[in-house]
Amino acid sequence: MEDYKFLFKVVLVGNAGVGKTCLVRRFTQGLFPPGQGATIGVDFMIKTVEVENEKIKLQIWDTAGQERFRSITQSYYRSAHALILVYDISSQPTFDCLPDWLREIEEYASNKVLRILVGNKIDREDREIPTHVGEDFAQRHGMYFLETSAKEAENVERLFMEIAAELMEQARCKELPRYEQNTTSINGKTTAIGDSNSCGCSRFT
Amino acid sequence: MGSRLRENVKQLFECFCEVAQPNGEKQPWILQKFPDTYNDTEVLKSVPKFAYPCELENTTIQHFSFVLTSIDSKWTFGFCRHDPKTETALVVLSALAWHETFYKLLNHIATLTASKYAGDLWQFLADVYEANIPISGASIGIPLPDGKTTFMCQRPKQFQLPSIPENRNLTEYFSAVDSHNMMMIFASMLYERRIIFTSKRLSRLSACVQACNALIYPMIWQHIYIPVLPISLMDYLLAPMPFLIGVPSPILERVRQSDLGEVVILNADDNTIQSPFQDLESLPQDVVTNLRRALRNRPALLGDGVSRAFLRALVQLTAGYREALTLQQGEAGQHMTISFDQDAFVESRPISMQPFLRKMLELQIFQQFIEERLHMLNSGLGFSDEFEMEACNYSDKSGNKFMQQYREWTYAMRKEGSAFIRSVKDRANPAVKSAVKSVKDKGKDMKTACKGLKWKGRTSRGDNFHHHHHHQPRSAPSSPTLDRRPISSSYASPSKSPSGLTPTSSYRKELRIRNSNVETSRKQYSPLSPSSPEEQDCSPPPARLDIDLMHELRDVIFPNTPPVDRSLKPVRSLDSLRSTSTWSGSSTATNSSSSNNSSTTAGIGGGSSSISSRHRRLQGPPLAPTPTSAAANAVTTSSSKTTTSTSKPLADRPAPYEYYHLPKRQQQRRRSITDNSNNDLDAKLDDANKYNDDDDDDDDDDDSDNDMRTKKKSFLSRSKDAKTATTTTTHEFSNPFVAIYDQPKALLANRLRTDNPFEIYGASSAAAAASSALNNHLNGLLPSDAAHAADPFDTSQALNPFGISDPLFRSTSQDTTTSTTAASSKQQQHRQQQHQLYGSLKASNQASPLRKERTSEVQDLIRLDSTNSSEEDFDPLLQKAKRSDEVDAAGLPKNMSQSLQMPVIMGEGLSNPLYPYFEPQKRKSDLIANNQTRTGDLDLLQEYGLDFNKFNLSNGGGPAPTNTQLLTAASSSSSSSTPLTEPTYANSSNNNRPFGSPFASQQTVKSPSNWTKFE
Repeated sequence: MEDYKFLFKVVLVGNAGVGKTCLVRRFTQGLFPPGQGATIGVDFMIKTVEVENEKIKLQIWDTAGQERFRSITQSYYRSAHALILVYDISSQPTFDCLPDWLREIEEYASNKVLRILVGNKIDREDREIPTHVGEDFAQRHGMYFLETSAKEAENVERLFMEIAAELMEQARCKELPRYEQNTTSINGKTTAIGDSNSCGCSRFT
Repeated sequence: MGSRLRENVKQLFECFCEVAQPNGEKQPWILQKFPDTYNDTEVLKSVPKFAYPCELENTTIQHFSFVLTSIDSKWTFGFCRHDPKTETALVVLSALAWHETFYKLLNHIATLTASKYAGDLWQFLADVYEANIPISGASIGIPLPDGKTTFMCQRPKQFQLPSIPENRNLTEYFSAVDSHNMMMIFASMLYERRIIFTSKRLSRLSACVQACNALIYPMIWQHIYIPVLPISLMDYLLAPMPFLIGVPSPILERVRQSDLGEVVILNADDNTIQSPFQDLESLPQDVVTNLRRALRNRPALLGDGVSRAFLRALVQLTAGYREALTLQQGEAGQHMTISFDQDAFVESRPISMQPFLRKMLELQIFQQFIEERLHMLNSGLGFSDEFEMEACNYSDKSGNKFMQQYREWTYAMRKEGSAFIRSVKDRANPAVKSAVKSVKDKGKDMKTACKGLKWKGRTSRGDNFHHHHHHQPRSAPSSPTLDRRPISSSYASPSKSPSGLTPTSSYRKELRIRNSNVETSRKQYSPLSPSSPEEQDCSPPPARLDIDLMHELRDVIFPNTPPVDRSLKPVRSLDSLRSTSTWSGSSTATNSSSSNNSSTTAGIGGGSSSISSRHRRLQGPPLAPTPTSAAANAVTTSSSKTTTSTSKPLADRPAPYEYYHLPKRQQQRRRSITDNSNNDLDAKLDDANKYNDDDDDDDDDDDSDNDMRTKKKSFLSRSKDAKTATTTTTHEFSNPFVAIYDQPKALLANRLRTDNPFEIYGASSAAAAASSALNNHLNGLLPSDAAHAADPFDTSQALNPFGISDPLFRSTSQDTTTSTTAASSKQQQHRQQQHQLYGSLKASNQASPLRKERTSEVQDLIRLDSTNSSEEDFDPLLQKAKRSDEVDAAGLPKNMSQSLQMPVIMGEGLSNPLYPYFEPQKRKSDLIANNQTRTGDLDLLQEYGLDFNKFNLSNGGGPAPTNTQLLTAASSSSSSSTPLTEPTYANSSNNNRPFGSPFASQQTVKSPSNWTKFE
């Protein structure tokens, strides 16, 4: 636990069945901890990634299985650094629920929280939500946007890596006084964000 | 459902494991397990980690518990025993949260393992594994292979609040954490924060976490719950969602504070708390104020005082939920359901509370609560637990409203009764059926009864009040405790005194008690300002409507009961309430009229003394014409009771609580036997004589009483036509009484009386005398009492604290004034003894300097300093209790010793007044058995300072030889009427089991419903 530079908490929300758990499992591949859900009642994943030679611990909380808590999500939001709002591109209802989720996020999450809209299951043939619709929605609400396929492992790694990079950037900005020597790396970070934009994870703010 | 305890638990435990401690690099692992067939790999993988959560220096035997939460959010408890002399930990996994029981089991296992019978361990485990889980309140005994010891497993009573010191967790929490910090945690839990407890000791850690979770009853923590966190799961501390986690100090030290984010941290070792929130400050402040006040009254915190203080805070926050309940007509073909209207809920509450309540509605913990309440209601369980009782106490203004609501529902359900019944029948819940049926049947009776009551209230109020005022100042000698008492005597004591120990006539007492209900609930919220605005506000007393539901259920338990002519066989309305109290477990200390005792011993008692009054009641000719129709009679009792209880909920309620406290008195009396109490005796004699002068007053009262009865009877016959609004009745009845108690003088007087419960019994002599007195009373007084019992409205006997506790008082007074007693007629005898008692009371009140000293000592004793016990895990409370025993033996302040004796007599007797009655033989054997278990519990004792043997004595067996003797005498004297009593008990138990063996009946009593949550 001690061996990391930053720890970021990422929470996935979205309708049941959109593939939140699959996304997380795909990314962490069950690295840690394997199935503590059976003894704690809540499962979660941790994966340490490296961004610019800094160890970053991503703690990923999956709200799956918590549906019985009608209001649980609000408490999830409280301390999250990033919120991944997931919908299923082959299911219009899951997209239609996004405003509801956003309302909750607006209400309960910190306004500094990093918000990412993810359209999952792009491996499906029966797409109902065109990419640009998702993009528009994300733009309107100041979110990152990415389409993924947990099944094909498409963009999954990138999703979390982008989040890690962005959060580290934010953290470094905040801790600037303490890390004066890192000024250059902040610049470097900025370019990294530009890079990420070019790879398809676009930020609209 | 929100409950996180499993339902339909089949085995006492799921698995026993012996876990080898970590050795160098080697992780802890399971050496052996039982049964071999247990193969939940996830759990088995986790058990070693939880059993050895981190590297800890351990020098004493420690018990702690951990919790595994399955994916469906249900809890499995792991009870763990560390012995520094061994290299293994013993672990028992169970779905049952019975800490004391399983810690005891672990001790047995440890003893067994170390003995020559080690080879029989598996057989013993198999015996326990295959044993049936006892019904609530009952216990089973499983002999150990050594043939001498028996493992006693007692199931906690349903709805029982955890009390100090029987509940290890709460005791530990209470001694480690001061009340302000407890309140902070309480508030943060209501706000669903991320909460960390930390301690160097696993036992303290797990106990504190488990205890604070129990203190939010009837809410249930819905989020991550890890009483002891293994280091491998350290990352859960970073969880974004609410959690309640006990973190061993070494682990917490390794966590970066910055990573924890906004978290509340309670250090249970040094009683410090750090919180970024203002949770306590954001709670409605009157709730906080009342809670703080209640927790400041330390003597009253023994027993379930702490639990109840917090429960009352929750009641104050949420009791109004009932007013927001609406009965909804389903769509065509559907049944009506009761639902919760959030807006109505908020708007029904004081404006100052509304912002908080709106927020609270969003909390998971509250939603679960409402959901569960609705489930209870819709499934016919009604309002039957401690929360609802407190809520009834509290629901000041809502009384009328609720009554109205209830009537509407009654009507609606009558109309749609069949559908409703059909919908619930499938659930096989007899309570539902009975509720519906009784609601249908009894609606009319209820109304008539109300009217009768109303009349009664009007007619005879005035005179008695006059007397009342007259008496109070006289009985309140100026005492050093005067200025202190009103402050410290929070909810527990003040209210009781008015109803409990005043020497006024029976009718007056009745009034008082009825009032005391109101007063009680009020008082506990603002004991300092009897006439404060708040008090005034709430002066319309609550109608205790929950009673109706439950009583009516009972009514239908015996569906084949022949119809009863109530005008011919009126029954005291109190009976059903008594039975209510028996299964409701620990009753409201507040309401107990005898609770002057309970200012120090709140919530402790139970037991044997109820026998006598029951017995008396049952032998009454009108009640029990023939043994065969006993069941029918029992039903009659409760049904006619239904009629009265609806309209006289206030009056009815207190009595059961008295039972609850009676054993305490016995205990005290017993204690005092050893004391040199000649002086007291003389004083009492004098006072008794003095008080004979007051007979005039009492005669007046008796007259009015008789008048009342007559009127009532006549009214009953006419009342079929009468349809009076129940609400008005309640109103009229209660207001004047409150007014009385707004008189500071009276209040003070009452409080004074409560001050000194102990001297009352100072004059009593040998136990044999006591038991014979009990017998005398039982046999001798029966006719007159029965006559009283014949009047359904005459609650004077039933409600009269003297009437109820007659056996006790009688024995006391017999010792002092035998000749008087013998000469007088029974009725007179009764009254005189009351006077004598009162006299002795008064005498005791006058011994104020001594008393004050005692009181302060009691307080000291109860002050538990956690820092003292940080290294050695002993409980200062009990340590001091032992010390006080010695003091007592030396003839020094007995007050102290009495209050401290509580641990000894609590246990089974505590909340199961029926127990001694039903199991006299078993009791004896248990006594022996429990004596034998002494050795097995020794290490527990060492470790914790809690003497489980003592508990056992009272749990399984007779509290003490003296008491046992008394009980045995009582039960043998009542044996002739056993056939009558059993049905009554079954009836009161709200459960139509066969009335076969007494034991079965006793079990029945404890399981009014299958809704168990608070085990």
